[in-house]
Amino acid sequence: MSPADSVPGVVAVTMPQVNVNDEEVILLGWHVPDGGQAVEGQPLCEVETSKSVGDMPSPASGIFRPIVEVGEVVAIGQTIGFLGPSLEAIEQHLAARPRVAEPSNAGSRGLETAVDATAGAIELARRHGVDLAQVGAPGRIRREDVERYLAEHPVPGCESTRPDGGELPPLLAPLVDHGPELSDHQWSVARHLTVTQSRLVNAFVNMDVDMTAAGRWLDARRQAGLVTGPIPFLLHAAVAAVRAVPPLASFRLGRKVFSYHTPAIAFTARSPDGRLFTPVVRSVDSQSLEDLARQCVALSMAVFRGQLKPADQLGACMTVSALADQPVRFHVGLQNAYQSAILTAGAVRQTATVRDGQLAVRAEMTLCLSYDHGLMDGWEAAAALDAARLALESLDV
Amino acid sequence: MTPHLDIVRQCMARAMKLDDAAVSSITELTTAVQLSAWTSVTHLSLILELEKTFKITFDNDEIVTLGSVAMILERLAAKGVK
Repeated sequence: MSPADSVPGVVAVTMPQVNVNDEEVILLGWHVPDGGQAVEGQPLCEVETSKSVGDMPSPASGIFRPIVEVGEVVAIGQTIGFLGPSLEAIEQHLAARPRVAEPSNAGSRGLETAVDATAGAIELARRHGVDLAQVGAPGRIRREDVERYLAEHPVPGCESTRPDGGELPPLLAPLVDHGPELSDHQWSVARHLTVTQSRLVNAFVNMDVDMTAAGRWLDARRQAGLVTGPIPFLLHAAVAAVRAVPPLASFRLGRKVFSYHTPAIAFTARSPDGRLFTPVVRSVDSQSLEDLARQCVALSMAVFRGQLKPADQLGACMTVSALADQPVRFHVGLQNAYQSAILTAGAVRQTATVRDGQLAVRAEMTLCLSYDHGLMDGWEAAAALDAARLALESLDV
Repeated sequence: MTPHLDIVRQCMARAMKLDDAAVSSITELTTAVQLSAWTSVTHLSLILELEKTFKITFDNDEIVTLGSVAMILERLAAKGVK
């Protein structure tokens, strides 16, 4: 945030550094509309960094006027809007503002352009080596203009930028109706996973776990009036897996392997409006189950309140996820970027089993570990999953 | 009957998508153990509903302990909800 230039009470909102490695982020959407009331500390917009998606809180309270568009690539430090006592005050401020060029992606790279274009358009053109002067849009060139140009003039070796993912086969067209487009958040998740999956060799192993001990822990908490889900003990299991198979604390980019200094593990959390987030629990290897449960609640509430920051989703070596509320036996999770694996759990079920030659009924859950086969082989993945199983079956309540 | 019980019931109905019969069965003695719809996920929705309805905020440490209607009513009273 920077102070007013000419009109009292009007401040520029600038994009903060959300991830040390990023020079820019993509603006996915506004939580406060043009002319709406922003509240200090409450979510102002949703942004996508190179590693995650999260909300950026408003630096102050006031009426908000955005000046960049959803979908644009925004440079760190770039002004994205203004806060003021009223829209009139902001208009007055903008009218009186000296015409100084905003920091932009082009500026940050020392590129000169005589063409009037948005930051998103400049970034996309730079990425594909397109001369903006050739795009030829009426008025200011926007990201969509560059996308249209790229669709008409494909650059060899570049991936498609078409947001529709291709043409509908003519024979299929009469059989289907156009549905609504994905939301910006859904599209961002889909793009992330598409890119991530293209870099990995996906494989998975699964294993049944006796949940008697974990069930006792959960029951004891519920009887004490404490509400806890399965995520804390999945984190506990994941820690055991990482200890047993150290490559789980790393990730692969091509043939290069990077290892995290300390193990941090993410879990999937769904916001009330159906958006998926992966908050990260730090120092997981030194925490008790009680501590893990407390952290899960704090991070889940941040998701529910729309207060999770991009930084809260950075730095995990793997993710855990549960579909425990539905009768799912197991599901194969899709790994997140810059992680080794994802450990998923289905619902707990009652199963007949043979123990010491006798038929017995036990509570059982199936764990599934999806992993990058380029980073570890099936034997290591099975060893990791077995360590997770043992951790759950030997929980001392 | 505690004055806020009815409002808490309505919050639970919205958060847990309960039908009328389930709502009317909720008493001050109801706990998460007795209500299958009261899961770790719907619990967070309930917390949001309570915060919005009563214009209060629960601490993170407090949230996990609110696994019974009695405890919810106790915390509302402790927060001076009128």
